[in-house]
Amino acid sequence: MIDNIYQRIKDYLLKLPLMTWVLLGFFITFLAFFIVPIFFDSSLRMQFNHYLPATLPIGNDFRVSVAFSSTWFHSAVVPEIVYPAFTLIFFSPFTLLDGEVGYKIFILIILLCYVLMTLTLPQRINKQKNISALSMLIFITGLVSYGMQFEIERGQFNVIAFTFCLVAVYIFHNHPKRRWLAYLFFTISVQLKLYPAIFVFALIEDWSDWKGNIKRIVGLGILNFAALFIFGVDLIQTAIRTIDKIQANLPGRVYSLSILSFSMRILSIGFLSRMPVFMWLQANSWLLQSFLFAFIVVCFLIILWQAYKKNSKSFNPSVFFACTIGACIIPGLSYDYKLSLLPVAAMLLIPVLEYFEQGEKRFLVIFLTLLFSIAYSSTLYPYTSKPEVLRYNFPALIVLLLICTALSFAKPNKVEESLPHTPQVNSDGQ
Amino acid sequence: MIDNIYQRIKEYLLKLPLMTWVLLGFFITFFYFFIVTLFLDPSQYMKYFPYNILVNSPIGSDFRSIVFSSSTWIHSGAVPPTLYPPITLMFFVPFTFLNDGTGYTVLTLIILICYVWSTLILPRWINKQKGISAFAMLIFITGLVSYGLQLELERGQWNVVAFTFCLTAIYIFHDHPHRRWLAYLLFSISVQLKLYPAIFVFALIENWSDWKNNIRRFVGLGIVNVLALFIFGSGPLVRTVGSVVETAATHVGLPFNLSVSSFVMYILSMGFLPHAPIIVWLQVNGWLPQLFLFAFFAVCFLMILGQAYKNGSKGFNPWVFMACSIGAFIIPAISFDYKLATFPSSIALSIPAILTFKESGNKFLMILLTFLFSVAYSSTLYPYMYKPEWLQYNLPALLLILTICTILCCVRSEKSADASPISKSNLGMGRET
Repeated sequence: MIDNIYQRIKDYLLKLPLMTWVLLGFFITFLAFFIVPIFFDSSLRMQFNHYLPATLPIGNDFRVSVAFSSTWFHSAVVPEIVYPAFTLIFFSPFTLLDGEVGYKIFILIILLCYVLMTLTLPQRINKQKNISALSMLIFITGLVSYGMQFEIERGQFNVIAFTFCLVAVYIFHNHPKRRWLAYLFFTISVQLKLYPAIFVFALIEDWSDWKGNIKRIVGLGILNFAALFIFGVDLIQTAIRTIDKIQANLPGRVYSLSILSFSMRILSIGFLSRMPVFMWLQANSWLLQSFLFAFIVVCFLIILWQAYKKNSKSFNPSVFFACTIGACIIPGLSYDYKLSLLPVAAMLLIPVLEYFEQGEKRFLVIFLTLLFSIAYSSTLYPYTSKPEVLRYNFPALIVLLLICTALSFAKPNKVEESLPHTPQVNSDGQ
Repeated sequence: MIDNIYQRIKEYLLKLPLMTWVLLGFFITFFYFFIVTLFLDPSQYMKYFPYNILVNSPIGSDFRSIVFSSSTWIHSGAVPPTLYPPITLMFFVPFTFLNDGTGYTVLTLIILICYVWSTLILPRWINKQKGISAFAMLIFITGLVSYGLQLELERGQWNVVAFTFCLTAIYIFHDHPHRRWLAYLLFSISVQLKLYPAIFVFALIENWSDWKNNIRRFVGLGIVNVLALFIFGSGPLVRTVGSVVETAATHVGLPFNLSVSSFVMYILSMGFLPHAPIIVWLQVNGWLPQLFLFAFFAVCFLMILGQAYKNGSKGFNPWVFMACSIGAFIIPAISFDYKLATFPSSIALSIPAILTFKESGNKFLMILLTFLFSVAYSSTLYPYMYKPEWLQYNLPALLLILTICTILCCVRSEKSADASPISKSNLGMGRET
């Protein structure tokens, strides 16, 4: 009798569409990081926390970039900046506008880029006709997410740079005759933020054509490296020194995504025991950093290897997702505003999840989906809403990378086959 | 050349799925009521307006108050005056066995589960959809983080709970005719929790041409629910009415009150109105604009009912349901913004059937109405302090939605002969049949 009931419950749960588990994951983090901090505070009063490290004036990074651009534009002197020299050219149109008007326009551009990169481009890359429920979930939650608000508050341009990169990926795979345009957009993207360089792995059409791929990677590498010296060697040296200085002054920032920052933070947490091994690790923090970095590299290489082994012949969402995680955690300076890029990568991964919907190892699929959903949705909330141990987004990103690595082992060809005509499953209701 | 370009742009825009216009409407309110408020404040600092004016300490004040009243009744037998029907005291009895903090946590969980049930699951079942559409997801997520639901949780209100009982009753009534006794029971619980769900009796009509049975049902449910109000005798009810009248008198003209009476008082007291004799006269005779607004609602409501009757509508009628929802918001004199927490359910249930392209329909009109609906609905998701003064009241947005529904109901009726099956492809949000 009990066995029968257990079996029926098990069958029922296993038959539920994956969307249920995705929503459950989102609901768990909503409860833990939204409802609990706001409504269950010990003060017995609804909480309105300032959830961002806001600066005065708002849009600080935008204003600084425009000011540098203006200095260069009017005096021809190249100021000390932390971004590639091309940003001086990119921001020059804003020097013609008053600061407030410029910031307003900049916000509008960020929002339009967000819509383009989250709603329009993934739909085209995945060759979907309609917006699915899952896409809508990711789009809306990303739009109001902490990462996106942080991006707007600082006047950052990660979303803009990433949109250039995604347009490049789209043109590269869908309009092979206009690949020169894809390379141009990719280069603009790299010259705005440097880290999009990792997405060169998304500009691979035929993984077995390693000669052509190496040629492309080397070509784009040389082009972009040369472009860094557009204003001479001095500027690059100054930029590197400035970045080093910032890294040294701001270690262990809770809103930093980088390996460096996370390992510094972990080693400085009070609850670590005073065992000699921890003391030794604190003195040799590079070891932990190297270990984490090696772990990421291994995952990344496995995903690349799977793409190569499967002889992948179109856009590979797993590689793209791994690149996005890499772009978030590898650079030494990488703040939470970069999380505004994650919805795109998640959106592009939907077809892979849809493939799993029809998979055989149902329990594993449900488990991975739930875990993915919890890890992803946890990055949507500000660190001020989370308990101390969960404030850093780095572990969530590592979990996502691990799941992506597991997904890359999906049976050969099936994922690629599903891409051109994304199956419409129950979970999406389309 | 220019004509050709214009024609191509026009064709392109007319071919866009309705979902595009829905999203555009949401995007406009998001920009004006969220981005502009938070990021474009003249102080040049990220502005995050707390609802300090609204929030009470301790949190969940309405819940704590009703549990306290319930506890008084259980322990002393005396029925304290509340703003709610007397049966509410019975409903909250289980919470008297828990400490305040635990009780509030349990109620919050119940509200959230009811929200998921009434916004994501029941609309799907009533509309006989297989999966969740993008439109349903949009409504669900935006409603989950909306100001209305946050206020409902902050106060520890039970509108979502009462509405879920009502919606479950409607589902059972239409989809499980053999269990209608259960539908009537759930409907009565809903009415006894909040009174205003009584208006949804019009959603408990299966065959609009069978007026004899419909009247019988109305009368039956009416008698049961009126009698239930006297469960503790007439004294507590008289005291409840007294409390309601008193509270209504002190809460008019507040921007978080959805009622017609409150809106009229607010408008007439606004500084920007000219001191023309007519305005002064209207300020003295505030009942007149109230009557006008009530009459406007009544006309729209009766037109929708008339169309349902004329067409011999059978089964769940989304137009009638939407009109009932708007009525439930604006008719009661005390109707605070937390009631908006139930709006996403109404929208998820009725709008996919209301906003649809018809083969021979006027596409431009449809797009315009869809866009207006989207702007009006999404504006209700933001707190009033995020909006400019003349847009703080949600009543105009609610009346706009009612007007759109009335127009579409009439247009549909005229074209009912050639109405094609709901096209899912051009909506991205259609009802699956």
